[in-house]
Amino acid sequence: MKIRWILPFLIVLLSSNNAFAMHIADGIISLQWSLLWFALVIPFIFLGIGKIKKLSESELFFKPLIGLLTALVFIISVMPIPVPIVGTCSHPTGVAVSSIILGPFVSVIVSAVALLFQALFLAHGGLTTLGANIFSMGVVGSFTSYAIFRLCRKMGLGIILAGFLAGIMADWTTYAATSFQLASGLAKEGEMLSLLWKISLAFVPTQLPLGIIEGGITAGALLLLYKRRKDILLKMNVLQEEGK
Amino acid sequence: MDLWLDTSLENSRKVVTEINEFFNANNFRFPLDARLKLLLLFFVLVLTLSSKSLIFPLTIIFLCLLSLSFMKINLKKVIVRISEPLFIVFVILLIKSIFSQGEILFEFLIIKIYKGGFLEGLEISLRVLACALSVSIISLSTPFNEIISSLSWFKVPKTLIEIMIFTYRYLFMLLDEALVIYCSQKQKLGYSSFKNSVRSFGYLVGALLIKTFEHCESIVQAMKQRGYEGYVPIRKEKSFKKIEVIGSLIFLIIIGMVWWL
Repeated sequence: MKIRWILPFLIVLLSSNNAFAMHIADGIISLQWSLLWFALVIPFIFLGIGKIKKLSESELFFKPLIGLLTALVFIISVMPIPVPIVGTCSHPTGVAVSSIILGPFVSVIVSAVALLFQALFLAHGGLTTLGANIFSMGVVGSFTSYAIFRLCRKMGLGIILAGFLAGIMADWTTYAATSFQLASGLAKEGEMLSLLWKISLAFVPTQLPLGIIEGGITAGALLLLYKRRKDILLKMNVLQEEGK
Repeated sequence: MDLWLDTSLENSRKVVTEINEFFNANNFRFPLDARLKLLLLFFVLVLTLSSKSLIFPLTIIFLCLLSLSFMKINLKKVIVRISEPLFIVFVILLIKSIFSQGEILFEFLIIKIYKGGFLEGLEISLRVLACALSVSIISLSTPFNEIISSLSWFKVPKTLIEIMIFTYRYLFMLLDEALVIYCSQKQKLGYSSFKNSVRSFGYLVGALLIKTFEHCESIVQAMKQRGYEGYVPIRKEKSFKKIEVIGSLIFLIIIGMVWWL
């Protein structure tokens, strides 16, 4: 009896070298759920666009900068990283870096464009599930990492540790949101919680270590910026004048 | 760690280089207005998601495979491209078949495959495949600038479109930079242990961020000299061809009828 429960997870873990299991593909969740996630994401998109318009009125470099950072997030999130222990690959989200530097609303736009590119060119994620994927990666990931970073800084933690924690939480909360979306979209009446548990369990072996790697990447990126181009961190309000 | 980062960067270069390859002139054998393509894609996706039988997604898969052969796109390339949805399909089918209850379809050792779960899994799997193939066909047959101008015609916010243009423009440049920095890091004993590798990878992202800002400063300077005032002009679309509109309508009516069956 036990093997019936263990087998699918074993196959999931062993069958693929590139388990890009992060973004929800087209066709998995129903049309109603897709529309619901789009509806939830639209206000964030428009707030993000409003923010970009306002900022680019005073600074002409802002739009090209967002374009470049989106390209960077796209590159980070298509890097399949083999996760130690389980022998599968997954990929970091890259939203922690963008939300810390650009702020959460603009980071939603960065994620939206990166996800659209992934869906169109690489068949990672999907077009009808774009709303759901933007919600998990763009909204949940960006806002959590930004909030954690700011909270840690207020508590007096250094920029590196704050970045590390923000990176970890961006990854873990994104996957938690994806698990919830999958469970709510696939579950029949009454089996939502058990399905959520199974899906979360399937994500744990890859996402637990990957979250820590993403934290390391975010901290490393901020450390390098702090050492070499502190002016960028000051310009983007990541650091205050006297801040460390 | 060293080995897997090597593979990761190589893979991402391959993946992004493939994007460029897809838009080479040889692949464009689907002469239809990009706006009509996007509209047709929208209807196909909506109908696939709302279909209640296996016939509709099967029809779409068949039509997609037919179009791929018509477009002379290598099927192996398409399979590699949709490997993620294929993997998802496999997992869904497996989990649904094993974790369900009810009538047993067949038994192998102690594993039971349940009929209800298998059919449900098959329905989702076919939907996923139909959607993935439809999106692939459109993205493989439409140049990026046409997608952008069509999105503009559909009144997608201009700011979003401008960011897409900038992203596409600088994607390949940043990836080349990433490979150069990575090789340089390796020569300076980066990626020598797990801890060192995470730090090196972080520095790689940090170095790319610095490059991003440096490029941005010089790009904006160059753009300003060419008259950039904060807006990128987007190509205006021509009017539709009657034959293409009629053809698209006939296609929609036919697939609508299949959906209704």
